[in-house]
Amino acid sequence: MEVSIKTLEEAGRLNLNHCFSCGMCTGGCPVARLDANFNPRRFLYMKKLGLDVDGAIWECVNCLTCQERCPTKVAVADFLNLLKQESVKEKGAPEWIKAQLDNLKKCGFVAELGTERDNKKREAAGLPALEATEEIAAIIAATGGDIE
Amino acid sequence: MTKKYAFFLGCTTPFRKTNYEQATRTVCAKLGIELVDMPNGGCCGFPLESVNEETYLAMAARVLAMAEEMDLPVLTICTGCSLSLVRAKHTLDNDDEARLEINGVLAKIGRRYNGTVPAKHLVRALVEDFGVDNIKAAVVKPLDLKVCAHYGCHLIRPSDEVQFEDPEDARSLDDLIEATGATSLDYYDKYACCGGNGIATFTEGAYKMSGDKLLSMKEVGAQAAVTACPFCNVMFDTNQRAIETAIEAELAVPVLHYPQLLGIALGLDQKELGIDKNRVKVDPALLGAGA
Repeated sequence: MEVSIKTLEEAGRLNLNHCFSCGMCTGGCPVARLDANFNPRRFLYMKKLGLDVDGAIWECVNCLTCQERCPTKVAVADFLNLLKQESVKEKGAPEWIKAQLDNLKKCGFVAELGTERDNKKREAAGLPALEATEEIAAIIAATGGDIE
Repeated sequence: MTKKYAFFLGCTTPFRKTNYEQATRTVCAKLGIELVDMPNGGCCGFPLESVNEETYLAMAARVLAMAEEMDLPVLTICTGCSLSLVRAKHTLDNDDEARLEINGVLAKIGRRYNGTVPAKHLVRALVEDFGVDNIKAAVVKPLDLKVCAHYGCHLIRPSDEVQFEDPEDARSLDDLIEATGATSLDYYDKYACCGGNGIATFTEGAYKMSGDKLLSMKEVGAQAAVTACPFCNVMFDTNQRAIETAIEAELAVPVLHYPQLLGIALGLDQKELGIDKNRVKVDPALLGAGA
């Protein structure tokens, strides 16, 4: 399954050319408010020009306000997410995602269940035990989700 | 009016917010809502959405397929899990090619996605399936309390896929709060993000986002914040001390999971609602007797 900015544009599901740089996405962005290097409007513009997007895309908090407020219905948050996917392909994933991925492969949860420490805590609170699953590891392997 | 759901915990709740899980189980039992466990439910796929589209979709589809086998709608209490499942369903129900491909992956673990069950967040299930009026009718101890609602982005956005309510003027959580007798106060940037998703990569920024919201709540006189997502709660409650340091201001805003607030109004014991595990201490007198 090839999903990228290119394939979504070809399928008519992401129309970067509908963006007229009005800046609603950036005006409502809680990250842009704190860091001028995070500017969704500029990211869209650079991509339209075929340039590499610089800037701290991983600072995006995925709040989806940009997508919600875009007057021409450009899926801005989806676009930012695809930039992250591109970045993972080219530069690898951030350390914190790798740590989560390791746990997912081991037990199916992003936290580590291996020690049973958590199940003891849960038992003390009267909550049922969690069971590890190998199905997530199988899905990750089958979909190329394993990353360096 | 008995309602029955496949109870999907996700990752943050069962490991870090057992008080949310306790409160949800206690309140649902009291209201006659039956929760059937998914002990090997695992992860909803959300953390890998920014890594690989297919991995994410297959993980979310797996959870929906498990609920289909149980012939029950999914109940989530995390807004992240909720959007993850709702979006995957939206994609798989509208894109035959994606569905075919994801079912090819699920076949390897002996499962299949058919699209027969919905996924709902607790807030939405209470509003749409149980009914705000029925909650009002179940309240035995109306609360005399002023609080601020924090929705959690993924409960309301993106509205074209979630199809729940106006994300710039959402009312569901306010209505559920007011059903307990408490007053839900308006405050600046009410529908803004807690910053939680940026905690690893933009820590100071994430603290600032949560800090700004908690300060705004304090400014209007809120006696507590009310959350509907375990990670928003991690930000507001678990990290409140760190946030105070980062923004150099005193907050001391107690943070309640919505079912904790509701549970008190239903006359339930504070310990059964896990309120003793809240990081920012909640004055038992604030919630009345029953500590």
